[in-house]
Amino acid sequence: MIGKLLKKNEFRFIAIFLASAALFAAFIFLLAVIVDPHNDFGTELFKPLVLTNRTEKMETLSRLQPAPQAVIFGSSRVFGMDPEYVENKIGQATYNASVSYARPEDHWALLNFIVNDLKIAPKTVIVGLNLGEMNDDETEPQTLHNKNLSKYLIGGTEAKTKTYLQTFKKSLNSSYIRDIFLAMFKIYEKKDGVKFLSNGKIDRPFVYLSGSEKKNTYEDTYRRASALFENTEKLNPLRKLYLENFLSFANQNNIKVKLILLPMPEAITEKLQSETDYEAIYEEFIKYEGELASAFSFDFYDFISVKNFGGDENDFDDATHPGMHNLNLITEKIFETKK
Amino acid sequence: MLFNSFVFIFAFLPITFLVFWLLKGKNQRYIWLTVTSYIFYGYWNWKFVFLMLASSLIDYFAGLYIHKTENSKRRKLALIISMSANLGLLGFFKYFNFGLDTIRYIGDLFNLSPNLPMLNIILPVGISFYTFQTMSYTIDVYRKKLAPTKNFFEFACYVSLFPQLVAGPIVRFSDIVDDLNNINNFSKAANFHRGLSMFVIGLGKKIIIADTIASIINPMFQDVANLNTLLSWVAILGYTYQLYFDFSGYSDMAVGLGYFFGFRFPQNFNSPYKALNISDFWRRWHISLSSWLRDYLYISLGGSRVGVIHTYFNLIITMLLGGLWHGASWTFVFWGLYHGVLLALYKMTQKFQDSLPRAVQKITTFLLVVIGWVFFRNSSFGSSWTMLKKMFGFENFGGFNLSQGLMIEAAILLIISAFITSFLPNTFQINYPTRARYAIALAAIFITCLILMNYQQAVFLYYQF
Repeated sequence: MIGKLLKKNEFRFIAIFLASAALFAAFIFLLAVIVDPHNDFGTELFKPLVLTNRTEKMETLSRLQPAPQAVIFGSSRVFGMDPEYVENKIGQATYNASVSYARPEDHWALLNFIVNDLKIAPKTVIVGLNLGEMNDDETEPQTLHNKNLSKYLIGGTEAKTKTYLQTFKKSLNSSYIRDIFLAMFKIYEKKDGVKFLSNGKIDRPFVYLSGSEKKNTYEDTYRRASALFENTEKLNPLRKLYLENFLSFANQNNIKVKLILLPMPEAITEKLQSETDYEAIYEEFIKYEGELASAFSFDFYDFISVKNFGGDENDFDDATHPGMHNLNLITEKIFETKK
Repeated sequence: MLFNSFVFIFAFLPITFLVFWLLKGKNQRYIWLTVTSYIFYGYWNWKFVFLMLASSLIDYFAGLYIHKTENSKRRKLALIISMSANLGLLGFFKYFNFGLDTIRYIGDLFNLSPNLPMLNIILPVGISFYTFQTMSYTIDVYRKKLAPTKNFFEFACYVSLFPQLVAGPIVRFSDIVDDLNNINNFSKAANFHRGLSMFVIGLGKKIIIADTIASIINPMFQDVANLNTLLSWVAILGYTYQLYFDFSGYSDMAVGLGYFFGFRFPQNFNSPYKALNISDFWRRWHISLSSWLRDYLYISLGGSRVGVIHTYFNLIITMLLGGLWHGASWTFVFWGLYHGVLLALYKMTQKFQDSLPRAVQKITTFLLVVIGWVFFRNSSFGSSWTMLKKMFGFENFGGFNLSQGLMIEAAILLIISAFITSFLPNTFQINYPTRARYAIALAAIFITCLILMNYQQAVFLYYQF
């Protein structure tokens, strides 16, 4: 059909255009995978510009002497939980292994990595959980493309292949292309905003935010928190399974688990309740926790509201991240309960 | 649906194109293009496709009736009904709240404080464009310049053609009647490579130049009070080029898409920033609108056949309404008035202006146009006036901070834009070769656009009008 429509030279022109476009695209895809500037694909041929905090923390853990006896799991919301504080409370060397965008599969894979690969036998694990992480979104590419974590995932290889294109779609833009070249020619090492101390706690000075900065930060983090509940009406079954596997594995290895439902400011919770299915998901989770408690041994702390642990409504870094004072209070409380 | 979206480029366009060429009959192709155009339009808000259908039905039957009847009163009545329906729809959706707002403002001046309701009206995308198209059809039939089509599918296809549906060019039926009649009959004259080239170049103008400029200048327009003189010029010159590359990019894409289906749409931009005077500018900028205003408004008002003063008045009224066409805001009205006055002044001083050196004419015209964009871009007279004061050094203070990197980026973009608009041929002047190296360069532009599109898909500026 096309042959009938096009003059010979036009046909040649369009064929060369399409072939060149396909070649350019293939070249860029290939380059992105080979150079892997953000460590999305786990190629490891070039030094990535941005080490994911999974890779960074796993490396630190493997070198840690003495090996930690207590480990903190969770998302960026527990980046500030202080291992030293825990150590002082329970006398166990502690490491904060929280990673950004963590989901139950991350807690499961990281615990397996620590126990099976690093041969560390922790006595205690603290899991800071937020309701939104039980949603239906895809597994974080940083987890999928980390070979030491993906081997513990259910259907890891399949999921990995599936997310290759999604990763391209999500990240391939002009900044990414620039980073490919920066990584290739080692022009500079990108300074990631998040730095960690040797015990895994976030290394960050207190930053005073002005009124408008605070408002912007709150709006931005609220948007992200709210996005976690988009199209989510109930707890994701696969993530429930990961949580069950995690608890079962911990019980088999005599690891004490402390599961904390993390707080958000009251106003944010109310907003989420009015705009999303947050309330229903929370109720489902509490019911589910009851079922878990009958099957596994663990301590659960519902600190979804600051009132539940006597926290400070104003001590939040933004719309979702508890401040240092609240995190210390939570730590205090979970070990107090034990007494 | 946006031309610069993945769903359009990789799903909608290929499917529409392939099925179109698989179909054989005229009506099959009219219907297919109409259906796909309605999908294209309804992708944004499906409810408004009925509005377009209503507009098409009214003008189709009005055209037939006007052509059929010899009774001049009945012909006029049919024309009035059609015009009232079209302008009524446009007026309601675009200007209703603006009208109420103005009445409220005037009432407040006299301490009347009228309690008028505000309706939550969504402006249907492209209504200004397709309404003007259907109106031109009925007026042309009334003026006996055009024989109406008896085939409703052909007419519906003309009104809804997706390449130019939402942001022009405003295509008159007479512009494409031959192509519509030959819709099943053309083959090797299709000029696909020209269409592809224009589409990709238009995409590049939009994504590589216009959107990049926009990312730098948009924050400046949100904080005009804090700009200094230099940054005010960076902002307004940036907008001058952003608007051109955005809108002419859209028009190029529309024309390019037209070629895919055998339509030759008229040129909408003819290097407007090369204009020697303001009259020349309006022969080069948004040609389909300016010629529409000339043929259906200015000439209807008497044009230049009614005495000197009346001609100036006609020019000013035409441009003022042209300004209002762009949006329901007094800043647009003022922008139109400004251009109307400039056109009248040019008419008055044409001999003197034409005797000036060409470089002086070009630079003066460009600066006058740039000053006009201040009112076009800013949302209020207050910020427009502040910007003008800053541009001309009456206020040169402000704490807006543009990083050195962005400043360099802005300077490079402005220089490139100025060079392209002042010295290079426009997309209608290029003799598109079919050489391999040209196809490869075009593919490189296309892939660059796809990568940039992945970051942000910005709406075309003229969608809002």
